[in-house]
Amino acid sequence: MKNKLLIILLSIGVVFTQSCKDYLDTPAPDLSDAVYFSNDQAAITALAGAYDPMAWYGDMQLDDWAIGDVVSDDAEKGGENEGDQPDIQALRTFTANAENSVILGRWQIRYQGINRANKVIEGVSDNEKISTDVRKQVIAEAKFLRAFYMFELVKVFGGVPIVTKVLSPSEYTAPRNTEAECWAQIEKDLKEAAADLPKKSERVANNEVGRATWGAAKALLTKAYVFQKKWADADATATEIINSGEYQLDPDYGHIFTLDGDNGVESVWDIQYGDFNIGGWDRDNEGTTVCIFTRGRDNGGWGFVCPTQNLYDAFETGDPRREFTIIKEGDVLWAGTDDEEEFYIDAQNPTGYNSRKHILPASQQGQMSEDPLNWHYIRFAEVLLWQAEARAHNGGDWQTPLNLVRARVGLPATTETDGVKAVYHERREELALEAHRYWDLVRTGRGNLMNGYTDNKRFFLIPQVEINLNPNLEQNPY
Amino acid sequence: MQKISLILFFLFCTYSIYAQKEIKGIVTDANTGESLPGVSVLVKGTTVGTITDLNGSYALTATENDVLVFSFVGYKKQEVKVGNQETLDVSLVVEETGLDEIVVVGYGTQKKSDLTGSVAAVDMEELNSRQVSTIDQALQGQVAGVDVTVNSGTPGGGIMVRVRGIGTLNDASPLYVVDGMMVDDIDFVNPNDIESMQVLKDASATAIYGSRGSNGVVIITTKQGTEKDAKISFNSYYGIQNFWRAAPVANSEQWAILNNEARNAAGLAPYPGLANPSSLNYTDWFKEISNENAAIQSYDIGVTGGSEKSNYFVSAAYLNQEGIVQKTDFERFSFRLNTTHKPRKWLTIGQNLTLVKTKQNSVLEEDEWNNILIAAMNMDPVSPVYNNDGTFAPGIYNDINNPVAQIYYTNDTYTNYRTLGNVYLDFEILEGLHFKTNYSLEYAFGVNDGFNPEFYVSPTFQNPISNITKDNNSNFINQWSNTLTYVKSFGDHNLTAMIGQEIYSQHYEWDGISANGIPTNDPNVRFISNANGATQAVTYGSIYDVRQVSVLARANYDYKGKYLVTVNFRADASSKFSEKNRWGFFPSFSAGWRITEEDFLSNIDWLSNLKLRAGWGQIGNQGSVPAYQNVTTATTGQNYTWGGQLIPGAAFLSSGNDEIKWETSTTTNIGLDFGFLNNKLEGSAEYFIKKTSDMLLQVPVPGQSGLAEAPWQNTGEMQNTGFEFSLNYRNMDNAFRYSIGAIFTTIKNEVLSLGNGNEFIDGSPFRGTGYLTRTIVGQPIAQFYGYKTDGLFQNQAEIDAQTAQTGVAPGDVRYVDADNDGELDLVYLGSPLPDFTYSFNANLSYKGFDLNIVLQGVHGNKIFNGASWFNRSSSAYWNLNVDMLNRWAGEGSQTDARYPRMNAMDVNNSQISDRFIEDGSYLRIKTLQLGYTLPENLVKNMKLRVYLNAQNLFTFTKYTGLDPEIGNGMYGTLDLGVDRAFYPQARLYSIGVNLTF
Repeated sequence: MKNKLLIILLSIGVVFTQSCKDYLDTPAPDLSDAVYFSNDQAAITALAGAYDPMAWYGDMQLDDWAIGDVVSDDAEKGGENEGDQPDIQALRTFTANAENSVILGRWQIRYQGINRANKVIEGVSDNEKISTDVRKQVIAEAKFLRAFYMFELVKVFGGVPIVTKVLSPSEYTAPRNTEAECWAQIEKDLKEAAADLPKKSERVANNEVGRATWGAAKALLTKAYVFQKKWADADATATEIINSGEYQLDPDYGHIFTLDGDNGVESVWDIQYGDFNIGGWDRDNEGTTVCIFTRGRDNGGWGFVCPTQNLYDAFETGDPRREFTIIKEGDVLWAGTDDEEEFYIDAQNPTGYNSRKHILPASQQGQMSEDPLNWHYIRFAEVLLWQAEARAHNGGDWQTPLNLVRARVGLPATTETDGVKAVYHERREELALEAHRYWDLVRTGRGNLMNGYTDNKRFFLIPQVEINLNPNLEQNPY
Repeated sequence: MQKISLILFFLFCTYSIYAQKEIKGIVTDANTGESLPGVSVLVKGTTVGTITDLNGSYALTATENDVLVFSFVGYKKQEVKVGNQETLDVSLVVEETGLDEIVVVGYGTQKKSDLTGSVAAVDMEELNSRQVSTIDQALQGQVAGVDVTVNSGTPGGGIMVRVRGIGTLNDASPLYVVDGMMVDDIDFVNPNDIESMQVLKDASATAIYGSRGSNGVVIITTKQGTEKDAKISFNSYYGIQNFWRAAPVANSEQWAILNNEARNAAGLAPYPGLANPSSLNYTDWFKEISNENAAIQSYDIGVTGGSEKSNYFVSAAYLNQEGIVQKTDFERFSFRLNTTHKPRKWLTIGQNLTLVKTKQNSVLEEDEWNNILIAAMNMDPVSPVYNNDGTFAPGIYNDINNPVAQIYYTNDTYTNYRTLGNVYLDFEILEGLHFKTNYSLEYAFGVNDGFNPEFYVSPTFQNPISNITKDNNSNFINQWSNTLTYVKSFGDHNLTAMIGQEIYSQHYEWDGISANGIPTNDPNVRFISNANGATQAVTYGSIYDVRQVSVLARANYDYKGKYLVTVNFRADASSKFSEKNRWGFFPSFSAGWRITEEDFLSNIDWLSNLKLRAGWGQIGNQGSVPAYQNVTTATTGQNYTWGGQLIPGAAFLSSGNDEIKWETSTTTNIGLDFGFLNNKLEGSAEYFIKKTSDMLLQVPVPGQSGLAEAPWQNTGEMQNTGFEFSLNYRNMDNAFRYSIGAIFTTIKNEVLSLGNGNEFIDGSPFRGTGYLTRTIVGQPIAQFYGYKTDGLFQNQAEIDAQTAQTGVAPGDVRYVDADNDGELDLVYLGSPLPDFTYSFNANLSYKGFDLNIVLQGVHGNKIFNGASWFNRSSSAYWNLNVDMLNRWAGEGSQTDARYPRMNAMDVNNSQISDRFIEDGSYLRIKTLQLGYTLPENLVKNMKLRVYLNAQNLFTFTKYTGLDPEIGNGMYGTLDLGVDRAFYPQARLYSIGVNLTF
């Protein structure tokens, strides 16, 4: 018996030793980058992943209005109290340090977007498994996205390290490029993208609204020229867009800021949000937090971005855009519908006003932060105003595009003779609380309109954690 | 019971047929001469026996060749041959110490006296009297160097166990081995099923577990059968639990006064509703969410028995615990069957099997935003719980979610089914040569059911569409270990050698569904199929596989039991690493010298034991690295919207690193075991240095890399040096017997490196205001980081004298500008790690009475009192701590920075600073138990003990939060010492019974 048992055990041992050769090779349940880009669908999925960071909480949803509006003279921070979102308050008072979380999100999310675009470009380039058409399309869109993320970096920090490929660890610590080099890269990407991107009308026809278009690339290029004061180039590209016939002004200004106005006739580049009943906060879903952030506290929101009296007073008498921009105590919205709602100004509100452009009526709200309202990144009205601004600087007919914008809201032609002044004025009223004001002030040398601003605050501090991790990064003066 | 007695009686009669004569006698204590009642007297090799009566006398019948076995708890067993005597008086000697105790050391056992590594055994006798609902609680305060902290007092809540401090920035939990099987937790073990529990602390002891032993190993062996008559034991208790301390928040009058003051100070009109503070509605929110006199009950029945060839242990247990917060509870059913069989002299086979079902209801805890306790402490005390129509009322003065409503609408149940078992075979091939094979498996299935009904309380607290979620997870673990052990003595040389091999695999699978729109809130229809949105449900799921192959070896050698040497070796290969880094080799060496065995000490009576031990070893850690980190993989769910449709997106969030390998910790250990006065006083002292290198870290990479998740890298070093001391004095000689023990541990932690260019790592984010802890090279991990306060500005002159703070007024907090550069400086504000931990325990017994006390303490640590950030806020937006009535109210009225002036628009005083950091030292009476064992003549043939028990009876602390005993927070190892109003431990009073027959 003893010997039999011994033999059985030994044979089990032998069988076992034979069968455990591949025991330790456990294939990952997720697709690795080595095999991922194996067909057209995979390329499109990875491309959608590269669009995704644009819509994150830390991107358009928070820090664009946090800087564009709150740091400017258009709005106060608002919220629960002064200590609610203290990092935004620190930016507003120009006392932020390099540990500011808003700025950190700015830096990191943009580079994650760039990396995703680069990963897609490298995954499909010269990849025989993916059809030529899809390859061309995907690369053009990824280049547009790369330029978009880059633009958002340069706008905030000035020159930053240019990344045009997936980096290996030894390349993580490259120093900053100059601002001019960055602009050149942005222009290059946008020009290449525009050459291969379809028009908006084709996107609409194919039910692909939200994907990059020729017009979006040209408009972002125009914006890049405007930031660089390349007025002739800006005029040329703006004119191209205007003459393309792809875009019109929405005859109803208020309609632009409704759910129905998303991706409307005036939309050149909308950041897309949708309510798919997913629930949750932040990146759990595809909705936006802007609605709940800016809704008044006594109406179920968090009461951020409180328009200042200064902004209120800036509107010309009879300018209907004010009521679509600012909410006062007792305003009634969506009157006559089931959604009719009276608005109150909460006791904590620092200015007595709430923001109007990014709120939805109750019936259209999503759960928690899943509000489906798009963020209008570039509207056709802004393209017209860029053309006007370029011509005001460069000579040319600035009145026609500017007066088109005024006429849409029933205002008479401008009586201002100084084109630059007229554009500055019109931009503020037309684009108020759409996160443009701060950048307009600093790029046109009017930062002094903001309390606490000095010229060394033109660019924000590079996050300290980034400088710690990459000592080659030179800090901005601030 | 009567039936069993009858059966026993019948059995005695049957055997008595063969009896030849009657034997009588008295059993006494050898030392005192007092008679011993209740001593078991058994004819060896039979079931014939009796028990001595109150006078210590016994009588039974036996033959001349029989041997009588006298046994009694606490005394040495004695065997006496009957021979021609008819009167056999026996005196029993007290069992002095556990020196000959057998200790389980992993893949084998060793005599305690032969140990060379650092192995501590938990005193099971004491543990059994502690009445704990889960076994990890029972470890608390029992072993030097082992810190057990309750993460949450919620029934079934988590426990943080640290052996010799925090050895790594990663998962620092020890490995648990139950009946030879490696498991991640021991929640499933019924405390009453445990036979022995050992903690392996140093590398020379844990190295046999190789890559999984670096944070210590807790080995548990469950009860086995005996070669005796069936013995049935029944244990039960019933108790009530309450908060040991109420939340120190203001009532409505106090809060209204302070709120009015705050608004006035900010130039805001006070709320009209608070104009008359003394006539306001008052809601004691803390009371509203409490479940007063929460019941706990436990029933456990176990049977052991068997014969020479087969024996068994069977048990069934049920625990039901309500929580001290409404709608929290825990229920556990557990069953166990352990059997051993000896079909041949050279063959032993056996199995252990346990089935466990647990069910836990919980409410939101841990986070500082909406957690129920924070909400109850922050909600304004004026708002009512209900509106007049019976619906839940929203807060009037702040937008905290009504905590009573929040509990009411929470439906979160976790049910877990677990089967663990093993079969083994021990084959003595030749004398002294044993082959043992042990196959273990675990199959666990967990399901989390959540239901969020449709409700409306206020615009910010509503759920317009009901939602149902179901998360399933299953875990399948196989482990097969084979060892060959050879024991041989050559004269004075004793050798035990073992070689072995092991394979381990874990397959983990999860999936889940979340769907909207259950038409009603009826609990009977909470199923996915009833959801209107079932076809648009959100689903997810995936798996991971982890496998390991190991080779192990150990040799123990001693010369005359005087000089002892142990050598361990283990090699592990893990599927988590790429082929080139797969194998890790973990050696250890240790030696011991039993000085008291030397001739030159043989004359010293008072010294009964002295042993010096020293060891060195290297062990690995891989537990914290998830599988598949060596490749770059796509993550789905990175979606975007095109054409109004949800478009699935994917992205590569990290970058695989195929260079990663084990992190290694090297421990040097020196220990001294001593025993004096016939081992009445014994103890041990140990010193260790444990250095962890190649630490596996997700080292942050520069943002320009574009990686959302940092890749894992082997980098960074950390060192723990510590001193452990334990001392025990026992005296069992007299009727009054007692044992008193104390343990003391101090550990110094230092981060030596965090990898290239990585100077610090922030941990513990707090309410969007930043991080509370910072881990920096050269300091212990997770130091508090923020502003240092310097009292309060008393007048304008003091404000004018500085430039660092602007916009402040008298009564505001003054912060230190350490370098006088006109800007405030963030500085280190203390450590969440204690200077030392200690515990005392005492067991006293006199006649039938016994008293058991366990005290446990922590000294010198700091706690960030998260609740006080709200409740000592100048804004009075949230409810306030009552001590804010001492706020600054004019020059000289208050200088303590904790109590600044009220100001509704305050920004200055809520900065992260030492205002919110408190001394976390405490001393807690964990257990106080008084028992009484009924005399044997009252209850024949059985041992019946009843007891009264109190847990967490008193806590001595200066800490002002709900509970100073806090474990890890929700943000991992670096989230230490931050009290986000954790669910505190309950004070428990209970009554219980232990019955054995």
